[in-house]
Amino acid sequence: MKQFFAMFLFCIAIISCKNYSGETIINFKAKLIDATNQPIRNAKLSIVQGETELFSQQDESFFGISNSDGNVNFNYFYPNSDYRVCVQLESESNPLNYVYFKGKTIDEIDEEYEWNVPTILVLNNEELAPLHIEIVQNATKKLVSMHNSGMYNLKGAFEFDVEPYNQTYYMKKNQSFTLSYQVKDTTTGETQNFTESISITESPITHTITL
Amino acid sequence: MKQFFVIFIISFCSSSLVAQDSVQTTKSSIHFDSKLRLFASQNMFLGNSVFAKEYNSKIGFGVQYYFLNVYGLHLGAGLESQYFTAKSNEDFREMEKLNFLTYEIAASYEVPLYTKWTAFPSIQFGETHLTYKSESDSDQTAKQHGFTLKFGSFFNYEFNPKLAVFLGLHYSMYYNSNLRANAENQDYFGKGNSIQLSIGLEID
Repeated sequence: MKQFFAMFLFCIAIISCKNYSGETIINFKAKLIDATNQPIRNAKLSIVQGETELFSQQDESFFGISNSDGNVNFNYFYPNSDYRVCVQLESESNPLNYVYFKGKTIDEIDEEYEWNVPTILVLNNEELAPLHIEIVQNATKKLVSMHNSGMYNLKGAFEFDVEPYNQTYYMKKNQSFTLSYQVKDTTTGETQNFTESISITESPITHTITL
Repeated sequence: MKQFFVIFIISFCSSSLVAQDSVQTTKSSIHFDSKLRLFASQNMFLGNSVFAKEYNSKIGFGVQYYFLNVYGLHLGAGLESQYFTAKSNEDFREMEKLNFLTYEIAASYEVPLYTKWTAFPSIQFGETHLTYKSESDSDQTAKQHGFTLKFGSFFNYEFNPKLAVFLGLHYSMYYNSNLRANAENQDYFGKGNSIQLSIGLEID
């Protein structure tokens, strides 16, 4: 019982511990627009550490507020663990109160320690359609990674990595994009690259990837 | 920075030796001479740095122990800690508390002013560790380290040959050359000039 309690406390300490590399400071710049290409002002972009999709204001740290042109610019200490950039909209009536996108690793950030996102497209629920990616598993094959190209979703108008497991993404309606993925044969160690074209319409769709 | 410090020390020593020759010729040139300074301090950061813009200075503490007298120049080492709190909890979340901890070497020279008043022009150079903490959490959230060069003077009022109180006025320059950031942020987060006021006791 004591060991369990000690382990529990240790886990709590690990989970609650947020820390940053104070010696690495990233300058984040972005422009927020809506579906009509109008700038979104007073949106709050913040750095949130941790894996969880659930958002708590307590998890926020560094942040910036978009100005009347939709531009936001702030500095953050590079987090020592996985992190996300959270976009919170000013209007409480907006059903998309907040959205996330994955934070860049230090290797993905340029030598000037600046992360410049030209445009982040933030959409309303009416402008989105769910895309469910279904992965049919194979005992000897493993999906290593998935990546999209030219895809719009609520996370923004730029490329991002897709998690290599079944998941639903909310995508901009009436668009097409290319999904790239890599499959590794666990017996031979060989990897193969695949690309597929996916079209998003007005209604929900399921796309199946068979390994 | 180190080269600058060495040049400054040599210049300081040279001027001290000249002054020493003219004022005190009978004292032994190199001898042990114990002086302990204990003080409370406050740093006021200036200019465009994160320390000036985002933080308010709270009280700091320091101890310096001078143990060697070389041609009238007191040499020693010390430790200083200075606390800061964020001006706005909203703007600097999880970094609301900041502590500067400096390990330093120090040199000072004695200049008699009036009967009981003495000035001690001094220079200190040390390694500074910055620790950022959240307001609610005692865990460290980030660390930085750099170097601090400080010069100015202590002004002693002597109660008796063993005990004096003093006021200090110093100009301090902090520099962190390790920062990985763009040029603007290297200056904003990596440099800080401040004026330090101190008050304390000197025990000989």
